[in-house]
Amino acid sequence: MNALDGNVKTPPTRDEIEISIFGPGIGECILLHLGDNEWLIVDSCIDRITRNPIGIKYLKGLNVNVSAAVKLFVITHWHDDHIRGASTILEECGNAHFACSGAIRSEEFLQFCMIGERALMETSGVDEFNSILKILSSHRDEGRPESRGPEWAIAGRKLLHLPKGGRSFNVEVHALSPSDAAITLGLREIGQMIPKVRTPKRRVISQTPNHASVVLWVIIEDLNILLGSDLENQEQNDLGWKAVLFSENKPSGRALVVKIPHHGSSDAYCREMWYDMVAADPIALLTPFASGVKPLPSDNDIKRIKRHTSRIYCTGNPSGWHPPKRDSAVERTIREIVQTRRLVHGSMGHVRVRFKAEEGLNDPKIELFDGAYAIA
Amino acid sequence: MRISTEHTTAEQAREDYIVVPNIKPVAGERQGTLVNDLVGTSTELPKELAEGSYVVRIPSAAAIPRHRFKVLQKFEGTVLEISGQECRALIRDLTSPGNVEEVTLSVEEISESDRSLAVPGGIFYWYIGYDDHIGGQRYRSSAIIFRRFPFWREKDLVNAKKKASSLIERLGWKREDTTHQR
Amino acid sequence: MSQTLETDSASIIILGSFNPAIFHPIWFKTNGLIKPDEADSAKLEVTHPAISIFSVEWFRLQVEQEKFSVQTDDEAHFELLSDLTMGTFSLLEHNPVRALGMNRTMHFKVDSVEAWHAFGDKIAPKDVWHGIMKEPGLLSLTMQEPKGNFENHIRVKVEPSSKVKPGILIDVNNHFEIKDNDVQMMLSILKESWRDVLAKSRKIADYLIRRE
Repeated sequence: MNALDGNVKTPPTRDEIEISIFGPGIGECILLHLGDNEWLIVDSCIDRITRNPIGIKYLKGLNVNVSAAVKLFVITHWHDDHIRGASTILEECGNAHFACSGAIRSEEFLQFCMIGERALMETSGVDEFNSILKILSSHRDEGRPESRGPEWAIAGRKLLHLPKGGRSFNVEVHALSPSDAAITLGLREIGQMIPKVRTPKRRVISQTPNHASVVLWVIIEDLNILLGSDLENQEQNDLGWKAVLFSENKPSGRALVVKIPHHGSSDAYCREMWYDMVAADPIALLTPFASGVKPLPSDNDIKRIKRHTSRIYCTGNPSGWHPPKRDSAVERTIREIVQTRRLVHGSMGHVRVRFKAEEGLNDPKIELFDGAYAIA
Repeated sequence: MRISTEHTTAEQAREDYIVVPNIKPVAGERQGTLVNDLVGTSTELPKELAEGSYVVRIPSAAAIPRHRFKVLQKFEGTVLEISGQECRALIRDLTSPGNVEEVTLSVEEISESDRSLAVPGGIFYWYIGYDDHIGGQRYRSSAIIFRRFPFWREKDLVNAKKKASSLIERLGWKREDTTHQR
Repeated sequence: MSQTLETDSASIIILGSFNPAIFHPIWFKTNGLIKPDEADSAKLEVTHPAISIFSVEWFRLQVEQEKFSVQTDDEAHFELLSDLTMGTFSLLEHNPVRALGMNRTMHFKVDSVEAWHAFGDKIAPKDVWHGIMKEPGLLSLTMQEPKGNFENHIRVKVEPSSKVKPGILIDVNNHFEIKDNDVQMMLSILKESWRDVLAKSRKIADYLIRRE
């Protein structure tokens, strides 16, 4: 089903919760309907043809007035694949609180961005963040309220509270990471990315593990949703998933829907997360990562996740993607020169989950668009 | 005829001259002092017109290039990893934007003079097409060429730091207690 | 009319105030802007405080006191021309600049003199001139489209080609005024626009040359 057709454009009802996840192979974007046509956007990726952020495209397709309806926009970390199109979202969603990882609240990170301005080459993550900084500066100059951001997502901080009042639901959004130790480590890593004198200008390649990543816990009435971002496991108790599990701010309750961290990789698998924070047989959502030595999720990753749930949905299957057919002379030449080759930016797969709060996940409506599939 | 300096169009002078006032370099003399310690020699200098001035003939560009590369496909690549003789890179299609592929290729495909730039983060263009020579011979051709930028200078980094300091003040990003809760 | 693109060149022209003497292959090599081999094999025409000209395999550089110009005939180096210019002026960030031109110059060969004349008649109808001239012919036609505030513009020039016979030259110039000697602004324009300018210039030429 094409994401522009048919009932993909049917908006949720006021009392319907929706989680939509988009993932084209590099990057992802998550949208949550919090009830009453109020929305949360987490991260951003772009439509590869139009170069527009998919979150905005989708919401406008539902006739959502993004400038009023989006209440919170969170960037879980600053790397290329989580941030493309983010400046457009920030500009268009003028009423949204904007939050990003506390690990970038530093002169080192800004220095890194300012260096990127002088790099002469396009580096989408840094260029995007520089656009964000320009917008934030102009908001300041215009005297817009400080609460427009950024708000610093750190472990234990509540980023949004929409009290019930006249609303369908009471909504809270909490950051579960990064921990203090993760922030310190993240800052050190940023410092190491600042180039040295007399070194050549290069693009920054995404670093893993991602210590600065923001994990979100969303509470809608008494339903919990865990958005695992790209957080990975670490040896120390004050980093990664251990820091979340050992934290005094670890939420009570269990998540019925989980966005699987880091594309299902083994490095991000935390058994205790599944047993302590996630309900039995939850709905698990993930996006593929088609670049890298091994694309994610691998068969072993899927086997591992299946131990915890039978309901796994992925926005795309890169093994089904093929590079476009080009001129025969071009194809011959490519075949002669490259040893291996695969497409890493495929169609913008979309998984959409909708359910009524009072019904829970007894009978959710799960829709798969543009190559998204259920992992059987 | 003076070369036009009024506009930025690419006007190709066929034969053109400029008058060089007030400078009297001597033919054959090293111009080290004039070019800031770089060594350069000019072509044979023209005859003197009047005291302190010269006419310099500007050589014209070649009429027709001896070969023309007809580009069929352009990629921009970023090196992800070099492992032995293998280069893993992400290539972005510039001819039909939107396609991104990951490829591995031999380091041998990279010119020796570019190999020092073939490190993670190094950026290259990859052109595929036909190279048509003036004699009529056509060659199917592929060229991987690394992008070159000046090295980072101390003042770039110092300026960035200053800008960052001022921005952090302006944005109100002063660090507070990181365990703050609302 | 059938036509083939015979030569295709791109150039970047910057007006300002320059010291031509510094634009030497060694300076470019030292600053990592060209390959060492390119610098060593560069054809140095003249290096002088009033004018410098040198060429390497893929570009020709000419700098006078008020004009910087770099040009390539190799389509596989069009993008790199912008890198070279950006790299140069990122180092000369205080150099006064007042205008930037991004140009693509294309010479098309047409299949017959008749077709060549027909094209000229299409692009510049002669009816008006017959009253005052015998056998008027098109020497050069330039059309301009302002962009934004009229200081920036696109100019398209059409002429009989001097390189290809019978042939047509189509030259597309994208001109930007640079205020306050703002080199950073000029670098941003180059970084963001160069590829689009090249593509759009080709589209303009294709549109004109294919008009029946």
